[in-house]
Amino acid sequence: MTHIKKDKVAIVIISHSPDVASGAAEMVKQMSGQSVPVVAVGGDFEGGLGTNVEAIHRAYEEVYCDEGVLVIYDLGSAEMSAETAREFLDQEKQEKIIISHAPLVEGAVLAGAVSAGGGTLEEVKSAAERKTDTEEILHSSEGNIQSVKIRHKIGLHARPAVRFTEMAKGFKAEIGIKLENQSKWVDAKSIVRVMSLKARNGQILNLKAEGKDANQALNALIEFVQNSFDEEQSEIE
Amino acid sequence: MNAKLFELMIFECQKIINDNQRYLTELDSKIGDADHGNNLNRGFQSIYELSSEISQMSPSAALKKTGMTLVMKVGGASGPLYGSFFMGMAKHIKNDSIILEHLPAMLWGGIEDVQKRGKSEAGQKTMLDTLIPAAKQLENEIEQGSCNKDIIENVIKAAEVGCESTKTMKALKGRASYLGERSIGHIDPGAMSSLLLIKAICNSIDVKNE
Repeated sequence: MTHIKKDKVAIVIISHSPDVASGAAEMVKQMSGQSVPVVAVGGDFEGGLGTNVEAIHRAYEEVYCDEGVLVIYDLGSAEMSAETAREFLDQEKQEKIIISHAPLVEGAVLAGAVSAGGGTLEEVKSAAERKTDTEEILHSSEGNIQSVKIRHKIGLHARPAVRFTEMAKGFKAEIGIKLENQSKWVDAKSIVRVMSLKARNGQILNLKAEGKDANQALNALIEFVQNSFDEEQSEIE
Repeated sequence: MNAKLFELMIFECQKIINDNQRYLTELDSKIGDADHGNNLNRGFQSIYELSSEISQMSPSAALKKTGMTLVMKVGGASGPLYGSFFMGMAKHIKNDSIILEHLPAMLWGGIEDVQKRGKSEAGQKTMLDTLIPAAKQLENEIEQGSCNKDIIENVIKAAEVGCESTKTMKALKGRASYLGERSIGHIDPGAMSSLLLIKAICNSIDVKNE
């Protein structure tokens, strides 16, 4: 068995279809890299459509870590199987395995992004279920605002969004982000918010910061966007 | 409860599910994912293969093993649900022996765990619509001091009526609930498999008494 590095919240994806489960896992890995343990479980005992408690139990054992495990499933009976399999584990482990009703693909990808960024189990779950704090920040019209154009083929996509929010979190200042044509600022430190901007190539981002290190924060973030998120364009097809 | 009767019950359950495999799957194809028959059959086949081992166990261990085997071998919702039922009964056994007077408490224990697992209740077009009336009937018959023959007959009757009642119900749980109104007019496959198992268990007692 390959060694799975266990210092990030793990994700278990359960689908009636083996293809759906492994496809969703692949999408998580694409954006979260190898840092997040992800296991796909799908299909019945003969590889047909269905769920299989034994296989789910094995998956839990395989990825379990103290950071916790977020389980995302497709349909109702998969939830039942997920719950049943969890009961076979020690009480201590059971408490760190959360079964989420987040939408399978979107939930798993968001969960992966937040886990990759070092999110806690609760944060990973909230992200998957899109239950982040919706309060808008930076209501005042004051503050230092700067603009920057996105120069990356597929925009501020998942992986750079993780790094962007990580970078933003490194500053004490409150930082807001929005697309130029939008009126609402959102929290630049929230991966879910930043990803929900769906900022594309050529669009202009507004950044606004308030606080002692506001200028440093803006400079660093602007530079990151200007440099195509420090990614080689050729990395992305 | 002796080992021989236990083995007979397992045999009867396995046989009735095997005999009705197609019928259950056919019911499931109307409102579900068309796998209930072969799914359940795989589970009871596994239990049957373990029957000499299971029949030597204490009743609570035997019920637990039965439940666990169903959980592990039956996919989808049926495995966890039937597994919860048998394991729930095991939890409510008294003095690790099965006697008639304690049977209702055991059944209610099993039913409670099915309800918890499925987050469901009576009237939602599920196996509970067979199990609950059967448990109620058993309780009544025992209170009235009915003879074994009457108990068996009336419990089966109550289970049949309960199972049939799912036909006019709208499914509120499981895959069938996705069909909404279109689920009306079909018997719930889980209610039917529960009826078959009740019949099988009653039959094995009947045979013994003769």
